[in-house]
Amino acid sequence: MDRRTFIGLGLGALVPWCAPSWTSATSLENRARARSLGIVIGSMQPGPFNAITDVPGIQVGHVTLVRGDGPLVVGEGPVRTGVTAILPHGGTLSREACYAADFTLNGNGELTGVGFVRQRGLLAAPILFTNTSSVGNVYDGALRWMMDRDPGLFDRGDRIEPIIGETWGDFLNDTAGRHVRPEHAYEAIEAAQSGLVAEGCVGGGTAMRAFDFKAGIGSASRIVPCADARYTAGVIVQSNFGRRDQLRVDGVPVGREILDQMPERGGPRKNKSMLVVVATDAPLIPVQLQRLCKRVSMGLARTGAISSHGSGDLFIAFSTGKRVVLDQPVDAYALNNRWISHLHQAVIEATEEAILNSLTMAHSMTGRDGNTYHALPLDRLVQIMRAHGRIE
Amino acid sequence: MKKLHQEGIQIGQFQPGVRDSIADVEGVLVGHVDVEAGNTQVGLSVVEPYPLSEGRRRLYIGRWALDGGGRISGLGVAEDFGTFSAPIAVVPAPAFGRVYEALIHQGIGRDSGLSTDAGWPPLVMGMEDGAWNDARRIYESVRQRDLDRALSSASEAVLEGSVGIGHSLRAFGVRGGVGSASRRVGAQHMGAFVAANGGLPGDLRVNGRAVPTPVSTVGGPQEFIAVLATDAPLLPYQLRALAQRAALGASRCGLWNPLTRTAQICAFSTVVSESDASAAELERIPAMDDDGLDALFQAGAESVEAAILSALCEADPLELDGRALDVLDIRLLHAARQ
Repeated sequence: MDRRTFIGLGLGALVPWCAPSWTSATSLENRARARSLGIVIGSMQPGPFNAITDVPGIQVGHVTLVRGDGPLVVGEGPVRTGVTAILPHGGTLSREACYAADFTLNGNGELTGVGFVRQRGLLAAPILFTNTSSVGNVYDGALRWMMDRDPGLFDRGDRIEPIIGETWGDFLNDTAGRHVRPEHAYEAIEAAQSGLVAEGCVGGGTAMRAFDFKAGIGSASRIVPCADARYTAGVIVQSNFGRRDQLRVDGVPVGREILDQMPERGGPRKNKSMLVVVATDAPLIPVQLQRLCKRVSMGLARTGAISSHGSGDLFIAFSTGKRVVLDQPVDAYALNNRWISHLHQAVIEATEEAILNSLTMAHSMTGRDGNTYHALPLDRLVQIMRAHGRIE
Repeated sequence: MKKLHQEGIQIGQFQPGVRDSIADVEGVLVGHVDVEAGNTQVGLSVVEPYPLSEGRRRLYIGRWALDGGGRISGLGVAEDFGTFSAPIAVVPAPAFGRVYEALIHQGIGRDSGLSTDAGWPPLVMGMEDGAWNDARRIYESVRQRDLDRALSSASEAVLEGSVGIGHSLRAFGVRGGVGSASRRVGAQHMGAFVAANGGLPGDLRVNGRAVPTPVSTVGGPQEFIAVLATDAPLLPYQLRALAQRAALGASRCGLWNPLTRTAQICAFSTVVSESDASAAELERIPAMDDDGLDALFQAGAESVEAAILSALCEADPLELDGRALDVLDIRLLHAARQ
């Protein structure tokens, strides 16, 4: 791993089929999205970017912190972490909210700000993903951003908080050093943009792994035709869960056929977790969004996850279909429930595909004490899928 | 001597513990810190569920929240597993992230792996300061070291009134504050720590009697927080039930009213729930039958009610930027003696 300090910002325009060469001197792997390998998840069509940003208005930004290598020196490094920010729109979130709901599949994780989401059924803040030890700093920075954007934030009695989620990245990262500062959260929000979403070893997903392969950020979307309308449902994940033998790709037990490329050195890896944000422009009300949230579990299950005791599997879903101006009358529409199953299917497919993208787009990474997560080898993945008749 | 006792006010049917505070539940400590914020003071308070120096402990917890709302961290573990192990910090809302960070720092010192029996996740509860203090000023003023100071000052001598988070609280149009009370139920103890905030002028009831308070020009957020502790071996579902009924104590004195916007009560048991140290498959869980709960529910509600009234009695008057906040006129409580 080269010794330059690197801080990456934004990257909404990252070309999706290869990782930037700065990220790893030791691995010049070409990474690719699952679909471009010929893997087709489900039967619904993805949106143009096949990402959560296909839902109009959604913005995603990352700050990636990668510096140093060698033995762990708490407070110095090596640093492998960052922040990922997801905004439902580019306006003043605390004045114009979206209907929202959250769901806890397994509670061994943190997701701040859900009190307001539950009480009011609204998302009125940015959502940020980071590592476990940095939640406080990221909350702090996101709150400052909210106060700068909306100086009256605390004057109106709306108890809005930033939504901060975390997964544990200690295997590669100097977690105790808490290198993510409030200003990184601020930058990630400011860098958020529409378009292509950088995946893999970026933002909050920098040090994460799934099924004992390198993982991190992943995203996917589906177009959902409902009568005369066409809606979009998109998902972004920070994946950090699962054991190798559990991995399934479109049902194929890939994890049982790649027995090498296991994590190297280091101690036990713990706290496997999964953060998921679901967005749709279909006009759903909170009770419907809660149902949508639960379906994430089914997408997760299709990859082989078991939502273990140590996993923080926390999900949040929101609808951009109607902007709710706080303290004004609401003229809300709700999708007729006869169509909601299509959205359920979309969320399940997009969740499964987003997780796969987090694997196929992540490159190998070495961190503290020489600990290494190896990337899922794409050539062997394709070979296995072909052998199982899933790819021509 | 507590002013509430000096005035001879008795709340409920159960006897208070020796200190008539949450510290009557063995192992529970409370600490406060006062923070300079420009020309004013704010503060935060912490409830330590067990002395942190005694190592790891995982305790059961249950939460009641009006509409499920309120600023709080650590909900994933608290709700899905029904456990916690961190000090409960009650803080001004703008300081939430800062205090969370301080508790992470503290937690890393106890266990770099941030385990759920060594202070992770932090349990921070944020309170609305409303129009009295400047949110930006609070955000800039509360530092991580303030949380550390609150923890190091934690003791069994529970200070009440305008200390810690009590600085910026307003209730019934007068100065609110922090209060504490306890009740004995046979051999068991129940204790409450309350941030008495909210309530409308004219609504204060003490033993059923209306106690007038001046109609203040200083408005305030309708929000309160309470922490309940017990040495009864309650399971999470029983602690949720306890927290819910303890809220009735806030209703009885008028603090919880139809305009209350947010309210949270966390109730925990000091009986250790489970241990990582044991490799055995089965854990023996002390528990009690639901039949014994009624008395504990009653004691919980009484503790919360008494703690709120005690907070009002212990508060100091405040003048800031030409605005005054009076305290409750304790003499008016005489008519409410039983």
